[in-house]
Amino acid sequence: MKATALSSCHAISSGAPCRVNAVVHPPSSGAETLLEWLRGSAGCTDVRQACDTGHCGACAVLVDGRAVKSCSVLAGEVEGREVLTLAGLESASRPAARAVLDAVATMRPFQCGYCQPAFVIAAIDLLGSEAAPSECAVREAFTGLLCRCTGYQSIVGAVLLATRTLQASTPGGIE
Amino acid sequence: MKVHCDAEAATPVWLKAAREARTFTEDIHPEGCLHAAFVRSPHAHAEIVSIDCSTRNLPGVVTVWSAADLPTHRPIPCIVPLRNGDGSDRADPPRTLLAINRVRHQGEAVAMVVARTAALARLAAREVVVAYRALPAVSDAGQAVMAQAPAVWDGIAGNLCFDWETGDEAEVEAALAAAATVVDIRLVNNRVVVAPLETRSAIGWVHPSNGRRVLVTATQGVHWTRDVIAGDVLGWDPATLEVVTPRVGGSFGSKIFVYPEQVLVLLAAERFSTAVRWVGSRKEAFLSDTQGRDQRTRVRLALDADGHFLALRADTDANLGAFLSNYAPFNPTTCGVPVLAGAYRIGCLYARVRGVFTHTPPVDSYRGAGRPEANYVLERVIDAAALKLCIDKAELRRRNLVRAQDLPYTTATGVHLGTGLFSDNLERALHAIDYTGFTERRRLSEARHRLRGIGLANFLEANGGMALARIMEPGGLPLESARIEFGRGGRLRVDIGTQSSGQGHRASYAQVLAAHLSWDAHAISVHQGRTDRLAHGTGTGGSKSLLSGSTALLEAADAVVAKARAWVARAWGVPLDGVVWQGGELSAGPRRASLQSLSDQAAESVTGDVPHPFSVEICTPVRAGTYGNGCHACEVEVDPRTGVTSVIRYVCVNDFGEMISQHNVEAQVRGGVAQGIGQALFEDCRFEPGSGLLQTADFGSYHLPQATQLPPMEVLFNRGSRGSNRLGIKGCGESGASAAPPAVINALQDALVGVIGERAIGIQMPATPPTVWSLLQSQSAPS
Repeated sequence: MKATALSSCHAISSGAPCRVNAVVHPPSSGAETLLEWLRGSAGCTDVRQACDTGHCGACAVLVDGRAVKSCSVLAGEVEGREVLTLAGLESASRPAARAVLDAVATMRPFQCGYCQPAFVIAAIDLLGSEAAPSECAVREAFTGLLCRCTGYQSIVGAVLLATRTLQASTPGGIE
Repeated sequence: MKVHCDAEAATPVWLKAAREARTFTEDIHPEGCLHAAFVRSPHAHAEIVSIDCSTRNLPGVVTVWSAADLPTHRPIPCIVPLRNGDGSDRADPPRTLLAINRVRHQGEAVAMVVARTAALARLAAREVVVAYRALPAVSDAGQAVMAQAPAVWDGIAGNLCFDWETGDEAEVEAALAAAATVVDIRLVNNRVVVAPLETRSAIGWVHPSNGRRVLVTATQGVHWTRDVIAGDVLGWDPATLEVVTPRVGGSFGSKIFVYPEQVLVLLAAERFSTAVRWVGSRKEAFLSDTQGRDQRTRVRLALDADGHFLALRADTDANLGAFLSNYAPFNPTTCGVPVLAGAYRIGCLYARVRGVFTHTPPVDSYRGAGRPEANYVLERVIDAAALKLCIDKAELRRRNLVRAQDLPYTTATGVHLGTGLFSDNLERALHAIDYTGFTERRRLSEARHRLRGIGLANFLEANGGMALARIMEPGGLPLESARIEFGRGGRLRVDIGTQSSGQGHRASYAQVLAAHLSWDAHAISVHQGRTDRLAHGTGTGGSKSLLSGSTALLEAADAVVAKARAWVARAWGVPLDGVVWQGGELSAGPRRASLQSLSDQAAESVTGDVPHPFSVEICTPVRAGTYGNGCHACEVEVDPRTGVTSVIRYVCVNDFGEMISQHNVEAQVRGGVAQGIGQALFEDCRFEPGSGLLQTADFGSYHLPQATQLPPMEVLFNRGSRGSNRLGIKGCGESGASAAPPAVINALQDALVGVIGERAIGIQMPATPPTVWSLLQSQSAPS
């Protein structure tokens, strides 16, 4: 996952509420990380904490459509922004989200499922910026995300299936 | 998760959610629960001078316990007996819940804090002042057995837990002395941090109205956890403890074992009459989970002038860590050594294993539990022999593998191979990787200034839990349980004693039962991880779950049919022997009905809490294990300027007999290969010499393989050989972790040999870039 922090975030607090999975939340008052706030106050237990150091990527969420490691961002930095976790994707209308979720349901690429939210988030981020990523590009996009079960091949395969689905559903997407 | 108490059922909603197993333990928050955190040793070896627990007086802190504060209990046992070569018993030092007087590895729990919030518990744990007197530590098994090494345990000479042997040493020595060639190499099987992504966690609770104790925790089998904690450690009647395992986020062996934290949250829950919850951090996982492998072996292979294997001798030092975890002595001895001969025709074999205590976290089963270590020794010494004798490595294997005409064959370690496609696996793997075309591919790599190598590794698994059952009780057999319950609307509920942590067993069980009873698989729900639903269970481990689980499930299904036949005989007024079961139907003369319609009728014949007449629960022995086998082949490229090794092709041919779910089997193979490649190339578990501190205690310094570092893997199946069980299946889950390390390192040896000659045999795991680069730089040094 390329984006490890919100590059465009401003540290200045605006006091604006943020939306998490379409639910408006008051801004975080403390100095907690976005991960701590999401799992705590916001009740998003689908966001995972698998390391203390920012290396596993299990805590990835979408902030304004881009994947970030929520352990590496302060909760206050998402004021006024839209946060999506895996649980919020089911109702999301974005074609990339739908395509990735459908591919996951079809190919069952995960095993224990602990890292699943993060890989889905990273895949959606990738497909949002690159319409037809190669296998190599998908693997590159997963840099910084750890899965201990699968060897990644099945997850990469599911993303490539989602890519084909998106291309087929996009006018002019198939040459 | 919303949590409140369902007064009607008197079972908290959080416990219901845990039993439904839709969520991980860390996502379960009992309302009003207390939180535990642990004070852990910063030293690998130190005397505890004092523990100041006055932080228990801080607002919000409920208590701070050191070992002196704990109620009477027994140590966590190592359940595996083992005899030394001289007939004496192995050493058995106590594994206490909290350190007493001395700490013996970094991360050992010294005190437990219980507080109103998790953050407060962690904060208070940092405030507990423990005065230590640091002592010298030893982390390497080879150094720990030396005379001047620091003692891990008083009274255990040379830090030796056991000195075990098998085989006829004199016969093997005679064969080594008389052989045309003896290949003699030393191998390192590096320590591995197991690192399932879900860390360990536990919730203890005592039901306020009936005193029933509950432990919610990730395991590989709730029944064993219950029996050890209740029966062995706390002296409770196991029937008074319910253990629940919700979803498990990976385990790979490490969550089989009982840990102090699980016992301590239960004790705290008893003391404070409320739920007590602990979720471990990644740092705690690095320092207190069981770790894997860590063996050093000197192996000698005797060959005749034609390259036939005459004898093999392996002398291994196995690092056990500071304490004996539950299975620790089993892995390097009676679990691993049986496959040390693989599926090869070796004249005779002798193995000696010394189990050594060190000031490191305990070592226990990690995906394969001794069998990957044995396969590694065997497959690497074969490639060393091929290099020294200038025999093609495939040809050397071909000459020595058990052939179809040799079956049934008993190996030099006593493994009885009834079936197996050993030679054929090799030929198919050679074809799949285009072995003959390798020379040209190597030339192309050389044009890009890359060193290219090709490696082979056969593997032999031994699955079924047979070895563990035998060591626990001579002639013993593993047991497994299953319960089938008939519900309304054609629904079947299955409870089974194995425990998935990502393998996908449940769908396979449903498929097996659906086929046996001609039932709709979608109407079958399969449940695991509940001692309240099933009296006994053996859990998951050793790639045996589908074997043992299906054995129990099919016997339970047979019992269902027997009950249904008896019910039909009574209901229809016909003799029992006239009731025939076929194709999902029962018939007597011209009258016939489906099992499902009969189950609906039978349900109406009982009222209240009377069980459905067809429901059964059985516990049955597993009478035969399986020997999954296959051949892996891979190619690597090395950049000689940096030492970076890339696995660029990977194929494997597997004989797993019949498959219930090829999807799940492929997933298991790929996951195992990924872990094997990780061990071979990336995962570098380093302890600082002298201090014994773990230098690689996070994912920034301990490198799990990433998506860009693993190749696409071609997983092929060689069909036509059935396992000795009703389904014809063979164990598969650990095969990748067994075969990938030798396949990758043999390929690396092959890549390096053109530059450094036979010194390439000296490559050890993990072959990180500095390791490979340094070896390449030694090319001008005298050999």
